[in-house]
Amino acid sequence: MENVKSQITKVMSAVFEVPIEDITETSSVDSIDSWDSLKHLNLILALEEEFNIVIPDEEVGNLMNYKLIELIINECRK
Amino acid sequence: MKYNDIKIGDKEKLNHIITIEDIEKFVELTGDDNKLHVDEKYASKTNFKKPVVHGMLGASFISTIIGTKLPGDGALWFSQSLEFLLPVRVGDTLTIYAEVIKKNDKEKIVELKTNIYNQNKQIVTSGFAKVKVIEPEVLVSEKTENIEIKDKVALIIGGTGGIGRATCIQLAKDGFNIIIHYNKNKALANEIKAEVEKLNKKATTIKADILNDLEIKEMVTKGLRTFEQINVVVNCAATTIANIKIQDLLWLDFLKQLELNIKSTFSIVKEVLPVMLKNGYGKIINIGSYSVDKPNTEWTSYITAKSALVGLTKSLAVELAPKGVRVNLVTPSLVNTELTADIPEKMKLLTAVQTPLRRLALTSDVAGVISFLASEKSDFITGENIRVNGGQIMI
Repeated sequence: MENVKSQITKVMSAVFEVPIEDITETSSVDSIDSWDSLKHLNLILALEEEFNIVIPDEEVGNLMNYKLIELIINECRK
Repeated sequence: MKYNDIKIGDKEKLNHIITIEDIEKFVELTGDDNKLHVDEKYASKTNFKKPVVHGMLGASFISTIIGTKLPGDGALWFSQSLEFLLPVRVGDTLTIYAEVIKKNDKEKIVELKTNIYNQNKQIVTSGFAKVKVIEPEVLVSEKTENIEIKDKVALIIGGTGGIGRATCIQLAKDGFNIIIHYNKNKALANEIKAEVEKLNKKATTIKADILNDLEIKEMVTKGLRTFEQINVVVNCAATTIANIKIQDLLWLDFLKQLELNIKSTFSIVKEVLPVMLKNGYGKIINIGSYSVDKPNTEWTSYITAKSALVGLTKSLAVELAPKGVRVNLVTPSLVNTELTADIPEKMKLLTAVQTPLRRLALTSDVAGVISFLASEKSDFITGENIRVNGGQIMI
């Protein structure tokens, strides 16, 4: 599980171009200035590639913060 | 009850289930450990075969009905005849009746027929009581209208729930004495009582099943006997919300929610209304649900009942406003409480992220609005529905 967290942190850091130490469990669309609609799509693609999963369309809009990303990734991996 | 208000034919009743703890307490208090009452082996060798409850234990509830109901406070019970007609056993449900059969206006004495029945409607004890009704001068002087309310009292229905507990504490901080209603969790009710008392306010706990009108009546009677006033009622009672698809939904599921949200609210209001009307002032605060504005699937019975509560609140408000009683609704969005414990974490996270203020409601958020509605600051507000939803009303 800890591995999933570190993978999410790595992906978010790369996509949003922020230092890895700035990504925390409270990170969200409100706390990361560079998180715009284009970066959001890049995030989806990067997460799908990193975890080798397909994120369902209805979940795309729900990945709005770290905790939701973790929860939905874990659901997709089941 | 005042002597002049008592009429021949007036009746009262109360119920009590005899338990083994009752016997133990009675033995401890009186020292009567007669083996016929306490020793199963001994009793089995007699014609009674099983222990018989002390006759005076059952009869002592005549004292309760006289002292608390007919005539109630001020009753001086000075004569009683008794005949013990049938044995009472542990587990029997006793119903104690008192009926006024005679009045002596000169001496302010009432005579009562006092009968005790068991669950099979058999008379187990019969007798007659004579009671003098004492009316202290202080009570007479308080008869003047528009009495000043010095010690405000709030009755919190469901006081041990998440919102209920926060409300008890908030209103105690606001200066209210608190009647904490609970149904099951006596230990928690006592814990909240201690917290209220730490704030230098008085508190009492009262157990009642609010689906039972008789228990509601007794709860209000007990509350009034303790504090003499109820100025604010906050109805926080709630039950778990089952997810049921419409195909599987039964009328019984609707009834369960309607009884808790509508019938109990209606019955509680009817019981507290006389004291509020007497004061010409009162506040009734109900708790609604955000799901009425934003319905989700599989909660049909709950949403229907909460929608009906909106109507009940407005109807009560319009009828009672001219009499000084304000009725309002507080509608929180998803609050993290025991009631919502079964809601999936994902739904909670999504609700928070979609809320403009980016979090779920806290019980203290709801209690804060209840505090405002309970205070004089909101005296020009009635029939209102205040939404506590972090800005979800805008989206």
